[in-house]
Amino acid sequence: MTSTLLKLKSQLVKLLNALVIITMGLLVLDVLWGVLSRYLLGGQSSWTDELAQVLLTCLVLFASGVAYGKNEHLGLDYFVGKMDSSTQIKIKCLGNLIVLIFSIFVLIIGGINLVINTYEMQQVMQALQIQKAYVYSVIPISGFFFLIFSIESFFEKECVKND
Amino acid sequence: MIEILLILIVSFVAMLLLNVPIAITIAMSSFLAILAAGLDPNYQVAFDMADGVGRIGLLPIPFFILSGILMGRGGIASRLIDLAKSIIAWFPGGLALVNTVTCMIFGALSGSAVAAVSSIGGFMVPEMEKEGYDKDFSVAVTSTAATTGLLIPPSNIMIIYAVASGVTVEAMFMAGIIPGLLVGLCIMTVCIITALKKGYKAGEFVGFKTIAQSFRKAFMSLLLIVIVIGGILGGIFTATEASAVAVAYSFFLAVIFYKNVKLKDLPEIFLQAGKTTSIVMLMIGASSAMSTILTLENIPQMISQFLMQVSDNPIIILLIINITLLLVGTFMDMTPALLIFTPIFLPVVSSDLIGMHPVHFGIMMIANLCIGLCTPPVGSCLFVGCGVGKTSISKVSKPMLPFFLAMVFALLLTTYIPAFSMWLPEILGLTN
Amino acid sequence: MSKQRKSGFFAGVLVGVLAATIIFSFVTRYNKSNGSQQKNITTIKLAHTLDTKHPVHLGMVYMKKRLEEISNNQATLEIFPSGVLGSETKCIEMLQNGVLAMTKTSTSPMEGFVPEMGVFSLPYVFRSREHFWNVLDSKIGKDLLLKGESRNLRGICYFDAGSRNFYTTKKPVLTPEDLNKQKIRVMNSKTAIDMIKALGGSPTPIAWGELYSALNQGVVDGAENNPPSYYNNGHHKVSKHFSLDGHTRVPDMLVISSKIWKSYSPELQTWLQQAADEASQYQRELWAQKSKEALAAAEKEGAKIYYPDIQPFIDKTKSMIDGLKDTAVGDIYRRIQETK
Ligand code: NA
Ligand code: NA
Repeated sequence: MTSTLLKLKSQLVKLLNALVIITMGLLVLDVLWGVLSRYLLGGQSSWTDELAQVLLTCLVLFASGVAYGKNEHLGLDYFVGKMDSSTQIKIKCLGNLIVLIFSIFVLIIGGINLVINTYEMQQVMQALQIQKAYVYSVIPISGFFFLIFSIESFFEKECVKND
Repeated sequence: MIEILLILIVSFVAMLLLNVPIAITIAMSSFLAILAAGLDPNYQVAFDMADGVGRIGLLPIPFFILSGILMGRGGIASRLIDLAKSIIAWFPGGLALVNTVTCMIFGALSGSAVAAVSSIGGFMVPEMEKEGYDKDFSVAVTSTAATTGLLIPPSNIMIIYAVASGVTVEAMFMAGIIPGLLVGLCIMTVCIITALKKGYKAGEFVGFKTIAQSFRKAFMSLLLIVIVIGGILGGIFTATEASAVAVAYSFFLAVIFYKNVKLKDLPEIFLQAGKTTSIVMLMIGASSAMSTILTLENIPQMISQFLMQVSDNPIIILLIINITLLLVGTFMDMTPALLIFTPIFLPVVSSDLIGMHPVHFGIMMIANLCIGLCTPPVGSCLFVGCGVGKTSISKVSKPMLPFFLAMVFALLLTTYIPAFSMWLPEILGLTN
Repeated sequence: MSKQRKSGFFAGVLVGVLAATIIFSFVTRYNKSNGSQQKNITTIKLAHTLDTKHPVHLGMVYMKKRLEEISNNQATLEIFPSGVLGSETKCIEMLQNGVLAMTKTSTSPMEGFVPEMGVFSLPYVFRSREHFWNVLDSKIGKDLLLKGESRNLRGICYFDAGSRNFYTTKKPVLTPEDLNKQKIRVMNSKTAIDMIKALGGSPTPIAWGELYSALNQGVVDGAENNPPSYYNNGHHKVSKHFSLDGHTRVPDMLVISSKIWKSYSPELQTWLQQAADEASQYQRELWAQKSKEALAAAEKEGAKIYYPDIQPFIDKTKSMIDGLKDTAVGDIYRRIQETK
């Protein structure tokens, strides 16, 4: 069980890393193109701003998955750090549970509702002429990554007995 | 609505103390409050987070982070140190002053206090130790001086404040310059006094030829600040675009000009920048859900009415706000503190009674929360400073004390004398 | 106490407090859903992004007052100004989900939800202010208000947001040729950008908040907006030539969530509609007055006002209208031209 999860996680991390790197690269090119087009073409394209907004949303949601997988999100470890090790493990497991609840309820269920709702309402992004629902779909996708990483972390911290 | 506020505060503090990641703490305590208010919490938090991170005004954040990393690895720090050394090392406590000035410039350029502590502290702390300075004192200088980079533009925390409060980034950038220099000046005063008291020796004057030489070497690095600030003021590009230009320029310096960064390092640098961005921006997204529920339940009005009942003296109210923020800053990192308290305190200070300009308030808040970056138990500058200096928080605490006093002194001046913040943006016509 | 027992104790307290808060949240939600039926005052939440001195905000304040009077204090508006709940697009999305009851929005963000609203962004659609209000008060305007019903968005009235006009720093815009190679700040919309291009200028979509310094430093050579925005933001100090060409008249509108509207009693619906209609009339007068005052004040402080012949402008942008033949927007455009 644990080794399958670990393998899955390392594959997912590779995929997410690639997504983050590509999105970041595109974001830089997009905004630079916005400045350049104004000076070279005598008028800025209307899609650069909207594309940047989309890329920024994707970047944050993908990269925060990577950061969670590596345990890099900021927390207040001062008080927990003063506790004994067995209590610390229990608290870590509880923290994991909260992340699990967050990923299921907010990112996955809330995200899917948001996508369905926006799709039904046929909201279109003006300059790019794409459905906003497609942009929102990165939320449940990142929720899936958060979910897998938090389950993996349960086993890693031995909150659940391994077989 | 008092129930909602209670739920928000208690669940937030409980999860914070249980070391749940702060972004998720903010999201889940808002989740409970939204649930209690009778709305659909799944949908609302997801929606607010998506909307909160996709705001165009936040675009400079990933870029200034990326250019900060490129500068950190691009060999810019050592050139700045050489320049500062050649100019001011002959003062009493010369190396401490060099440390302060370099931290200020590097922090200013990169917009990251932590990057300044690690890049400059890594060089300067061992060097100061070699010259007979007390190591803990050196760490204290580095950690406090680095925070000035958040007041001197460009600065990501100012962009976050601008988006949260609706003021322009340009106005914030200009407003921060004088208070940033003021904090730096107060820190340098402490350095000189300590040096005189402990008899730290001064270096020798190296002569104008050497100064010119090191200036030439650092010139291309210093040019970045000219490009960013000059570009904005000269009307070539906006603050958002300046951040992308900063990336392009620091890429040019690090990869092509100084050649300290290889092309094959870029994916890893992009990933690092992406992660750091997401850590900050996930908190921004989550706090957008908190701000929605706070607003819908009229909690900012409630708190401002309460504060006005406590006192109707603007000086006292500002003092209360400052003390609250100092306490918050000891436990909370700058970004979440700013995001949570801007919607609460801004209506209070911009009311007719106090009449503070939102730009001035932003500078006061940032100057205040900068102090928190150097206080235990949660202080990222202090942590990184102790890390690079290989010392402990308890040892640094004593030499840190006079620096705290200096920063509080600068904070009070910034709070009660609006001209420090408002003069520059006003003469540049940025406060309309 | 040993360290382990002490830690266990503190952790237990924290977990207990957290669990109690979760239970308390559910209890509060349950009490709220049961208690609200007994309440006899309906509070309608309305959010918008304008400041509290704006004539459109004052129109909403008037509506609040009238609603309270008409309903005999059984209904009221709770107004959230200054964008505290987010952008216009965000507020519209909150309406669709029923989190927020009402919002004030310009018709341009509505285009993403109701494409027909695009007609207001086209250049030189209306011949005059009178023509503009005749159209909005006619069946065309009323139909457009209800076009979003299938998307959960019901428009209830229009507010005047004036006409948009060019203002420039170097020389006045009297003919389309005066726009040649001039960098003009526009809203970031395709139609606005196409219009400036058709007139020969170079469109620059920068943020509104950055515009003053952009005009001052010369990032752009001009911009376009209504007289109160021109004056109140101090743009007349850095951009002295104001040409009243009235290229667009983009109305503001009040929108209510259809979901919430349907939950109201017929009585409340009538009160609300009446208050909105009265507010719209009141606000039109207020706008006309503020517009006049703004122009006079700007002129007094050194700005120059020009009245260019707009026929050459109409001719230059005709290609944009021609491209719309046989579309829904094109059809509305035709009907607007036929209205007196
Ligand atoms: Na900076
Ligand atoms: Na702290």
